[in-house]
Amino acid sequence: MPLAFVEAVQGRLTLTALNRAARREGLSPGLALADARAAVPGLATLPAEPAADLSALRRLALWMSRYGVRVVLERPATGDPRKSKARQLRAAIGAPDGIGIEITGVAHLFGGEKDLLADLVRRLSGFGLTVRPGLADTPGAAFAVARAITSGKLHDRIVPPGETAARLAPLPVAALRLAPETVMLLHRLGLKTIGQLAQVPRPNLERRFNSRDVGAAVLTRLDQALGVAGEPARSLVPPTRFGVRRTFAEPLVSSEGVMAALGDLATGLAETLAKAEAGARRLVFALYRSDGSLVRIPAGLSRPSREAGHFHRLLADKLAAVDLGFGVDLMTLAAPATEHLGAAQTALADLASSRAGDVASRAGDVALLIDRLASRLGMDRVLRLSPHASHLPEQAEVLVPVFAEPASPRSDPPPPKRGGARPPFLLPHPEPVAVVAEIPDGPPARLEWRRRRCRIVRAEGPERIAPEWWQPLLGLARPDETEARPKRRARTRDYYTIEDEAGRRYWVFREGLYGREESEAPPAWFLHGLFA
Amino acid sequence: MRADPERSLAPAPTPQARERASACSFSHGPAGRPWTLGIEDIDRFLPGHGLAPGGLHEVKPATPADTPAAQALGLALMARWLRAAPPRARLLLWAATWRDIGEAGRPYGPGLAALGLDPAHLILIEARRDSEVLWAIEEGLRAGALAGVVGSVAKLGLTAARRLALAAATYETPCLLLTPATLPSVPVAMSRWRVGASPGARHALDASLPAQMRFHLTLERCRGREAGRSWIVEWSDASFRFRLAAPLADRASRPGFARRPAG
Repeated sequence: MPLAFVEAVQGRLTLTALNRAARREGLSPGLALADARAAVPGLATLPAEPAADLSALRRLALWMSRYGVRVVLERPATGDPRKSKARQLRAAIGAPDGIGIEITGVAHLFGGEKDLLADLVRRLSGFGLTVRPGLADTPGAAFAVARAITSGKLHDRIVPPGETAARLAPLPVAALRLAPETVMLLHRLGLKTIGQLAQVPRPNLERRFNSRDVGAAVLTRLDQALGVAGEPARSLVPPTRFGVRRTFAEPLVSSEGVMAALGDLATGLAETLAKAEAGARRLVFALYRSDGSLVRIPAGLSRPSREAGHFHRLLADKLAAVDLGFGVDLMTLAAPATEHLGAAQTALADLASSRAGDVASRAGDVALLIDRLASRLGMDRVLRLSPHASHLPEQAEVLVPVFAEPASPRSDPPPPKRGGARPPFLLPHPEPVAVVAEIPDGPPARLEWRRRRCRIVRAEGPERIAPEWWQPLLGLARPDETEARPKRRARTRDYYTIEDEAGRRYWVFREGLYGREESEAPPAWFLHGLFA
Repeated sequence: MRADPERSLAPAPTPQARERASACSFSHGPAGRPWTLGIEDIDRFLPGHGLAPGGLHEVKPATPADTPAAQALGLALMARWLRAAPPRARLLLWAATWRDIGEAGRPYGPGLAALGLDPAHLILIEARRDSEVLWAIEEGLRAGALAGVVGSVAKLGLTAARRLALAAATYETPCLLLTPATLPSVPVAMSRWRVGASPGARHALDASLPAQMRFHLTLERCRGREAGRSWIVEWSDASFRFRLAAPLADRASRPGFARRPAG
């Protein structure tokens, strides 16, 4: 039954993709739906979902990273590859419709290029997909072979090394990833095949086009296909230097099996890292499920490590929540971020110290704890306090992720205590309070905060903290102002430690001095910290 | 640092010296040390002469307004325990939700020194939900590498509390739970303290200045002891010690004492 996907293009419904039956009826993508209906009354249609198509293709591409180090999404026509105005580029770029894999140095793992391709076709066919593979020396040539060769035999779809020019010669120029208008132009010039194109002297070719850009585009694509010009490609998955992989003849379905394999991989990765004197800061554990989907489990480490046990525990936590589906037939463990880590380390030292029941092994346990906390809660939620040189109380200390530095006792002495008392608890933002106080600089006598009123019986202050004139800090909002940070210069603060009749202690300040800083807004009171 | 009369006049083996001595011989986990308040009257009352280090202890404010007091007392108590630990093992995990931090503030390094806590020893967890706080507390306890865990939770189920109590006991890591005043308390806690602010000590020179902080401390529950005793304790931010502020305050609650005729 003829079936087509339709999408509204410039206000009219247009066919975007067709099945074989529809193609046999003579329809082609780009045709208006009304015209297609006239030609084939029984045409069934479905709305196209380009976004879903793209994400499905991306998922599949990630899964394909099992076959090679670099995976890219291929686009049918990308206009001028060298330079192009942004608008032209947008118009020329089609939606990605293929997946490119770089298999340099990988084929032998599968028993040769032919076996690799056969394995790939077998698996993808198993998912119910139709595959048109192509294998060649360059991405351009592989692209052309995959799309232009009609033979179903794998032998015809693999271009042996060095035969690229010969094998590409009979293929149509459309296979060169050129924009449709350029292809039409070439046809008009009588250049139907890549071979004919390659024979034309280059200066002549450039002159024949109406614009330099088009000529340059054709030549660049030709050179890229023939391997004369390089072609940078951005991989979906960044290739990593440190990684280990394990394939399974039969898909693993039990989590125990996966866990055991993870242990092997962790040991393998630790050995690889040890040879290079490196320690991992980030790990990515990838599970390739046999149904063509991929699960990636990332994990961060608070300090460089190459302890297999650490890797294992860290990832095992997250593995428990993973649905293995129909089984896992390939697992990889990679360390995309590493740091130098000297040879003297870890297992031996840890063994010795744990035997002595010493605290050194605790440092490792703490690192593991922090890694676990951060990997579940997020790195920006596991924090430590770090003193900072500032007189402003809220800036005298910054919260930094524990990851920034291993949690260890501080080596430098704490900053000298300046000024008056500081509360053990600071509110995230100073909160406006209603205060009755003597003008100009008496301590509060009454305080209303969060709808609770209290009488202040004791007070100490003021401790005057001037704004840092070199910092463009904005003023604080008074209770009657809606804006969180009014555009106002910061003003002097007078801090008071006050105690109410019940013994509760607050740290409050008045922003602004009476008589001197009143011009823009009257001074206002804020509660900043709590003692008890 | 202010001159502290207690320190200079103390008899030869002070509790601190004892703690230091026991810290030096520390070899097999922190279980051997007692976790005292440093107030003989209270420590004597507690089983094992102090709080159980491998246990869950609940600290509750008397009223919602006393939450900072409960937090401060909890941290001061933990700081006492930390100072007795060997220097490398003094890490403390503090976990709270964003909401709790907005309510009662987050630990502030420059002010923690007054509670006897080095900010460098603190790992802060800012969680989105109570469940994350509970998870973080449990992980912290189970790591077995921390000196203690302080967590602030708004809701606490019995199962979750049991898990925490079990983890604290198994890994011998003390756990302080700060819970809201209105939350029904958990029966698995080794002790439950109700903390309220109390008018501070009189300043020696000027009565209008705040001096040492005082807390109204009630032991609402303690495994193996009758509950309901209360004390007023005073925190000295110079010597980092608690002391009993008003010994008389306790006598009133003892049956028979207050009703005794004056003559």
